[in-house]
Amino acid sequence: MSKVRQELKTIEVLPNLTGVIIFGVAFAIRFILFQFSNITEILGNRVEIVTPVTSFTRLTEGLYLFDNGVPPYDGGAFHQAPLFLACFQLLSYLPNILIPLTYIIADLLIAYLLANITRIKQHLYKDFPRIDVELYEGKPKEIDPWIVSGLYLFNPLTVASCLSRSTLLFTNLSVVLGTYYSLRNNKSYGMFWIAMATYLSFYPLMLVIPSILMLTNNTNLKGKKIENEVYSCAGLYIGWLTGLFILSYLLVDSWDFMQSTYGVILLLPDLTPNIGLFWYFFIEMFDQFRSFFLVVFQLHAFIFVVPISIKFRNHPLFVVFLLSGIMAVFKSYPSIGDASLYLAFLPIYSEIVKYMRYNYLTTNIFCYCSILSPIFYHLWIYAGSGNANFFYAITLVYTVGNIILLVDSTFSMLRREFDIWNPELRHCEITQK
Amino acid sequence: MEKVQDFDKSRRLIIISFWVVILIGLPLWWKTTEVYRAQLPFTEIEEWSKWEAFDLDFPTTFILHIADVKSDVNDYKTFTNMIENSIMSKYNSNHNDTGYPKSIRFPIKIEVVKWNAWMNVSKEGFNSDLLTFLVNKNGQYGFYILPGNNSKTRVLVGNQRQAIVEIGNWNIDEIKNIISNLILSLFLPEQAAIKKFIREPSAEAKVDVDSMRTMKYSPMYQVTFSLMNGDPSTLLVDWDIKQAVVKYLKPFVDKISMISNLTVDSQIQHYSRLTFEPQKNLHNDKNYFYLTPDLLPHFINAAEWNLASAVSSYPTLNFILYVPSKNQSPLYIKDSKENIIENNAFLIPRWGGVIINNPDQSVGTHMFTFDELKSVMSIFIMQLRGLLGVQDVWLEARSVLDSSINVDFMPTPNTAITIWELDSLVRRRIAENIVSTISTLKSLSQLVAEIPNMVVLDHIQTEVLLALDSLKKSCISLHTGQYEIALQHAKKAIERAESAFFDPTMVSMLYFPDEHKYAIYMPLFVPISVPLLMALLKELKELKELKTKNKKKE
Repeated sequence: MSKVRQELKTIEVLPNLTGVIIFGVAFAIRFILFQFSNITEILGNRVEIVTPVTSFTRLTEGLYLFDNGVPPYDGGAFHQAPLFLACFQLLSYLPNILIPLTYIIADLLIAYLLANITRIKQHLYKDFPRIDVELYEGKPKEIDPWIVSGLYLFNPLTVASCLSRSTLLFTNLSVVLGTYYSLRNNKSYGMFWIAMATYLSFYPLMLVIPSILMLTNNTNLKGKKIENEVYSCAGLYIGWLTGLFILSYLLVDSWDFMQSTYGVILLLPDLTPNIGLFWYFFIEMFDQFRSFFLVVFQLHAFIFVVPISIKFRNHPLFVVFLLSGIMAVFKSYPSIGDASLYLAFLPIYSEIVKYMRYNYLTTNIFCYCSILSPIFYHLWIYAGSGNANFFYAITLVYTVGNIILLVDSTFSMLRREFDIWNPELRHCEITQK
Repeated sequence: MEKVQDFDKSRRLIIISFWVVILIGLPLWWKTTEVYRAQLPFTEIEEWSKWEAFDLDFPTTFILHIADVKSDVNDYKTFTNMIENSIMSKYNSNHNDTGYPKSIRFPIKIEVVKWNAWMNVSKEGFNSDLLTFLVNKNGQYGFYILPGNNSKTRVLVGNQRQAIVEIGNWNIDEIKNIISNLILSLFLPEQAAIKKFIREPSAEAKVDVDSMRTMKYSPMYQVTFSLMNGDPSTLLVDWDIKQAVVKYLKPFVDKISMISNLTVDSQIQHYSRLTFEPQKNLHNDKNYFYLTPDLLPHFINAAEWNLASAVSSYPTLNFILYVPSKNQSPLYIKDSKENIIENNAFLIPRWGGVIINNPDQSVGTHMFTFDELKSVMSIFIMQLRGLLGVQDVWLEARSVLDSSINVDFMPTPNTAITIWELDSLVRRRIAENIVSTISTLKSLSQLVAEIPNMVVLDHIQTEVLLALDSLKKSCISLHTGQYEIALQHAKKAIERAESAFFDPTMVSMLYFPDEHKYAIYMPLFVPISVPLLMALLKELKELKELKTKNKKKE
């Protein structure tokens, strides 16, 4: 087993024809679509794709203020991390083509890392017991890592999110990088990227636990104490996060960004519609209960972290998948970019797909929402023949679809585990006591 | 076996971790739904509303300049006492009515001055000579009393706070009677009005003509003059309103600004049709249209005439000069006895005034010139006086007084309000503002006491305290007869009390009984708590069973 761990650092997916074709086509699609500026404009203004905390338009506004020496957070329109200002200011000195290229490359990088993560996961699970249907001539049947990349790259949600120039892409990149380095047992990089993801959009805070699980799962064999390892991980995380905050402070020369970024994410002053649950609820909320229900909603997003981590402590990557899904549903400003991230993790656990019971339903819900949400939004805002309930109903359906998918995959994972440990009971129905 | 134990342990941990989050949530629940209530001075408000803290004085001083005639009117001290007693007995006679708070008083002071120069005073030189005597202060009035040439008693009212009284029959009883009657008839109506405010704080409680006509007090009114043109296709109209306002209205606005500020604007509206057809005269060969009193309430076409102003949130007084369309003109107003009203105007209580004007339609255009507007503006100003509650004290007094007494007026500067009227209005507004401040504060404290869920923020507390402070200051100023200062404080008091009462943070909490709270919590927490509670109970039960098993094993 320890040999397996030591091999981790050298594992790499080897490029093959499938990979080259997938990446080439994905690059071409994005590059060509980026040439039509009205497509990026339209996508960049869709409430389903960009939110007040990820909008590129708002970033441009903040950048303009920053360039002109005005405190960027004074306008009340810009809610993104100060590091974006520095990076995009740098990009603005370079040729224009670099901004779309940055987005394309970030997307392709996520896909490449996903392939690597798949490979590492397959390597880690090599000696795990399996059910016999998964074996083909004595060898386990496994998904080609490039297929995982392809499923991410050709997911319409990913493409739309990338073309909208939503800055959520960089959060997703940080999450994937963090997961990748944690899996490779690289403590400091892993913690850095999780800290970066937290810094960019707060909610990835919950991914600290699965990352620590990945890192400690490897080390307990080397005779080190788990506690020390956990402390050092937590210390690294806090250190990196503090470092990022101080760097931001130096960039904008005030702590205003805390209120304008995390304050906005937590306290929800901007009630622009999105596909989440918060906006409608807090429009209708009586003022007196607003703060209370804010606490309830935010705690609710975090309540699942510990139980899931305990239950799946042997499958930290699966915890990352579930928590990304929970973030995509229960965060204050979700967009389809969040869904594209957790959906990308699902094919890594391709072996559970055969246990899933509602594939047909969830696929349909996703299609149904993709078509109806722009229509209902149009009816509400432009045609005036519908009201807010139309759009909110669709966001509810979308949420329910996501939750069914998450619950279904959790069930499948547990059922597969059960079947592995109790082969004799495989054909019995499981009911709760 | 080890596997099963491991499984149990992780399940317990999971249940605990859920409950830990809920336990973290409990203090946050307490904290975030806490109803913030700043302490309000309930006892003080209660004292005010029971008139316990209340000590209202409306002092008046009369300076009687008595001509130095050789007669029995030389013992001024007894004379002063006589007049004071005579007036106070009348004042007090009304106090016998039940329901008046004891603490409202109208003390008077009489000063008698010997007047030597009376012989020189001819009526022409009267005004400029006497101004130097006067302290120009609300609540102090001078009467110049001299013997008359004939037996008739005449009163000449000056344009300051003074009047000349020419008494035909010069003896002490007659002087006493006439002066005390004069003072009583001048001031009793005002006192009755003030007492009424205090007895019935809400002006709506009892309907009488004056209170129905007068607008609710506001420190600021918007006055809008509208020229409504029925049909611009046959007649185009315009008016020289700016000059007319500056010339005719401005002096009045300046005077009354002490009580309420008026902002004036004007507009011309075309195609302002009536909602009904006026009656056509059929009786004789004269061809005209007329409105009957029962049609007047429908005159304002609220649906189509755009009279609402977005400029300010203060109450608006509308004055409409209406030019009827050709097929409805000439248009007149008839009273209930079928007589055409001369000035062709009517007043809408608490809203404004309307004048109908029938210019010559044959030319195609009509310009209301500055001179033409003079009569229009004088009607509007009369209506404005009525709406603002200005009361002509001397005219009222004249109607009460003995008909043998002849009351004349000196020509007044064109301010449309005399100093006597302004003084009276100031006193009535002070009383009204004080009373409505108290009743507003009382309603506020009742509301806060009745609804325990109502949030009372710090700035509400500040406003209430400041309002009480202004009330106190106003009463203190009243004691010393400083009516102007008292009015300013009373204005501040009512403004603060109303801004506290109508504060949006108070209004939003009005509808929160406990049942609503349960309705808000239930849909969210019942579905969540059922599985959590069940899991907890099951786990506890299993633990118990495990313990008993272990005991049995032992």
